[in-house]
Amino acid sequence: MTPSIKLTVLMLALLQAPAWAAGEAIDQSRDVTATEKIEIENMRGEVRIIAVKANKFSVKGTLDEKAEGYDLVSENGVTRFQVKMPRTLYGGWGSDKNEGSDLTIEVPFGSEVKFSGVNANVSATGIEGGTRLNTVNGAVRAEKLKGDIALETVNGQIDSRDNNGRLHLTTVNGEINDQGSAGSLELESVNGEISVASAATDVEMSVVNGEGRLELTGTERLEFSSVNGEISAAVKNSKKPRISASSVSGASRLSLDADVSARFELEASAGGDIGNSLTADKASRDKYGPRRHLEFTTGSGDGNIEISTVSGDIELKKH
Amino acid sequence: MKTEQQLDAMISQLAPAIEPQRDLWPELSARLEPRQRRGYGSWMGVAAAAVLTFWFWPQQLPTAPQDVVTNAQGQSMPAVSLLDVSRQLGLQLEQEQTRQLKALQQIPDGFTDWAQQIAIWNKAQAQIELALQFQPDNQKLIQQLQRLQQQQLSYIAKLVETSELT
Repeated sequence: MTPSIKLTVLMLALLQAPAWAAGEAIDQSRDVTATEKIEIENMRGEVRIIAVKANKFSVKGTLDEKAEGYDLVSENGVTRFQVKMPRTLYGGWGSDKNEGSDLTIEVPFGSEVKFSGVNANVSATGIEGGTRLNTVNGAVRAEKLKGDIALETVNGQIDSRDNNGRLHLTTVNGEINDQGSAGSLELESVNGEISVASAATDVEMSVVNGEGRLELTGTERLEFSSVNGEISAAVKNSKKPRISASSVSGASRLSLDADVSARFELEASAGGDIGNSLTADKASRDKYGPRRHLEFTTGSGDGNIEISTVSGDIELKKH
Repeated sequence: MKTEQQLDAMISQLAPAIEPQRDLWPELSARLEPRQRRGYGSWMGVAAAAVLTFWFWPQQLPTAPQDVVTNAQGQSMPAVSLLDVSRQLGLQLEQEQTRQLKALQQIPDGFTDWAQQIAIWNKAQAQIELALQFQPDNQKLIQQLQRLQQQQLSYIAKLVETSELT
C-alpha cells in the first residue's frame, strides 16, 4: 500500500469516526431488592438487559455520544436509570443505527423492568417479575421472561422466545415472531407478519394487512381477526377448543384435530367461500342474498368454533 | 257415554308421571347454548355501542323521520339501530382523526402511508355496511364494524404518540 493510499484510508476512517465514536464509559452498580422495580430510559443505541441471581442493578458500556450524562437513582425499591439527552434532539432522533448507547444492564431475576427508547434495539433475558419493553424504531428481543410481558415497537421486529406469562406483543409495521411461549398470548400488528409456535392456553391475534401463521398446542381459547390479511391457525392437542375468528376480505384457515368435539358455525356474509374438509358437511347459500353458512357438530359438541367473514374465504380442515 | 265416576276411575289408573320415550335434553341443550351465547354477545355489542355513543355523542341524532320508542321513564325517544349508531361513530371518528392529524407537526417514520391505511379501513367498513344491507340484524357484522373503528382510533393514537416521541 502506497503512502497516499494509506493516508486516504486514514482520512476516510476519521471521517467515519462520529458514527462509531464511543460516548462516555459507564460502570455503575447499586444494591437493590430482589423484587426491585426498575425503569430504564435510553433513546438511542443497543441495550441488553439480563437477569442475574445477585440483588444488584448494574450498568456497563458506553453512553450515547450525544448524551448529557445520566441519572441513576435507587431508593425505596425503585431504581431509575436514564441516559440524559439534549432537548434539541427531541423532534429529530436521527436514523443512524450506529449512533447511541451500547449498554449491558444486569437486574435481579425477580425484578420488574420497564424500558423505553426511540431509536433503540433492546433485548431482555430471564426477568421473572414482569417486563415492559417499548421502542419506536428498533427491534425488541425477549427470552425466558415470566409474569406480565409487554413488548412493543412501531418499526421493528419483535422476537419472543420461551416466555411464560401474560404476553402482549404489539407492532405497527414490524414482524412478530413468537416461539415457545406459554400462558396467555395477545398479538397485534397492522402491517407486519405474525408467526407463532406456542403452547399458550389463551391466544388472541389481530392483524389488519399483515399475515398470521399460528402453530398452537393445547390452546383452549383462540380469537383472531384480520381485515385483509390471511390467517392460518393449526390448533393441536385441543379436543374442545373455543375459537372465534373474523375477517373482512382476508382468508381464515383453521386446522384442527380429527377427533375434535365442537359445535361449528361458519358464515360468509357477502361473497366469501366456505371450504370444509374436517367433515362431509357442506356450506349452503341463502335463497335470497349472498350469505353462505355452515353449521354442524362433531363428537358431543363440547367446544365452540365460530368463524365469520364478509368476503374472504374460510377453510376448515384436519391436521 | 261414560259417567264422571268412570272417568275418575280411569284417570286414577294412569301413571302419576309421563316420561318421554327418549332423552330430549341433549337436543334442547344443543339448541339453547348458542342462543345464550348470541344473547350475551349482542348485549355486549349493545352495551359497547351505548357506552361509546354517550361518550362521543355531542351532536344531534339523525334528522330523518324515525320510529319512536318509550324508555323506562315513559319518555319518547327516537329508535336508533346499531348500524345508525356505528355510522354516527364513524363520522365522529373521521372528525377526530382529521382534528388530530391536522395538529401534527410531522408524520413519523412508519406512518407516512397513513392516508392509504385509513383508506383500507374505510373500504373494509364499506364492505361490512354493504353486507349489513342484506343482514341488518347481524350482530357479528356490527361488532366487526366497531372493532375496525377501534383499530383506527388506536392507529391514530399511536401515530400521534410516535410523532411526539420522535
